[in-house]
Amino acid sequence: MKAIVINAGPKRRDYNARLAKSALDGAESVGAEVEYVDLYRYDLHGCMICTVCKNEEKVGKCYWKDDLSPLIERILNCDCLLISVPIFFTEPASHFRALVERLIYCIVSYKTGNSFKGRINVGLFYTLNYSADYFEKSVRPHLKSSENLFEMFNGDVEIRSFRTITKRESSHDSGDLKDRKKEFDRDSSSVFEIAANLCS
Amino acid sequence: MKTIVINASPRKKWNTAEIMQSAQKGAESVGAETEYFNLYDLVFKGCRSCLACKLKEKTKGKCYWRDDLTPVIDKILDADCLLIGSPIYFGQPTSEFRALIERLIFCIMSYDDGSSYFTGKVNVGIFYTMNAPLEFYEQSMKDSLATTEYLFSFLNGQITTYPVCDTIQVSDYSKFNMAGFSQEAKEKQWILQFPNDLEKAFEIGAELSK
Repeated sequence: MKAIVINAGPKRRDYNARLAKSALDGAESVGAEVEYVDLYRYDLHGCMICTVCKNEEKVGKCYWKDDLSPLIERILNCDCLLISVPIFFTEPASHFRALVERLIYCIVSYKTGNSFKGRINVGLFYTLNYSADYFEKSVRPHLKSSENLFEMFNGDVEIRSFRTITKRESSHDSGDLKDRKKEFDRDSSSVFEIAANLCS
Repeated sequence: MKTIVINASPRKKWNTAEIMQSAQKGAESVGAETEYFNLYDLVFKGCRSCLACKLKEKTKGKCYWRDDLTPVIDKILDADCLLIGSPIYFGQPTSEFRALIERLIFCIMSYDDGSSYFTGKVNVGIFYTMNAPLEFYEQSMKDSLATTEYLFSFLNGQITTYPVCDTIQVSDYSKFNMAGFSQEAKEKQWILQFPNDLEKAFEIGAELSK
């Protein structure tokens, strides 16, 4: 079982990254071989519409030469993809979007639809700094068409949203803070479990 | 009048670029001073959440992350009109269009009360080019794209969105596994509809740059 865990947020040690680490721990707890990626370390473009992947016999691989293409190849050969991504305004971070453009467009066949024959389970964790209820009710419905793209991997898809705890909140020792710490523990174990299940 | 024109497509010579060049000519026709950028030529990333723009000691309404995009953000905030075009990939504008919005809008958004720090006024013309037909855009995409208009409302100006639909993707479909599309139908649209879209882009560019 190979899993790839992607921190698709710009920071390497924030709440989003911590949840990615929980996913990593969850995947490893069931014996998966895991690669951990900080996506913002990559200098990448979204899909450049070179359309090489739309030529005869070339569907199913991204041919653009940069750091991302080898990662796309590893993703298409793994069993489980776990991504945590911050929501900026009402959308996942732009680097995540760039990855999705490249990863999905190269498996789209204009002849047969989905050219991907393997199976990858996907866990997607949104982190946001406003009410998760509001996000679920008013924002997430607009993300449905993007979320549906992951069904092209023919596996299980689990998507959850989590409200972040900022550094400022965690440095104040108030009752509220204790609640938020409990929330993090709860969120972290929730991600851990989803990751473990998707890698089992 | 200053107008900034941005092609947020990876392609520099196809539909989106042609639309944006037409919008630019429209702006120039009413005497605006224009500057044109191919967004994909710039080396930059979306917002890094450095939060420098939220520091009390810093001047408000400025992006402090230094890369190729920073001067473009400064220029937009100093202009009277922004004309921006993006192709639609899987129902959304391109990732780099999105990266620009993250940086441009976050630095003028107040975390005190959610208002705009920006005191000027920039009119915005948004052009979406897509393979999808107009009916599909109206029914399935327009609502989700409205959040982008909301974000541009932080620039306090008039906002016009124009969809350019059913565009021709490649010049020779026979070279590609793109049997789902008809070269003939696409060419027909390109000959009959696309010139109207160019004309409309010109008008919007002119109107918003007055």
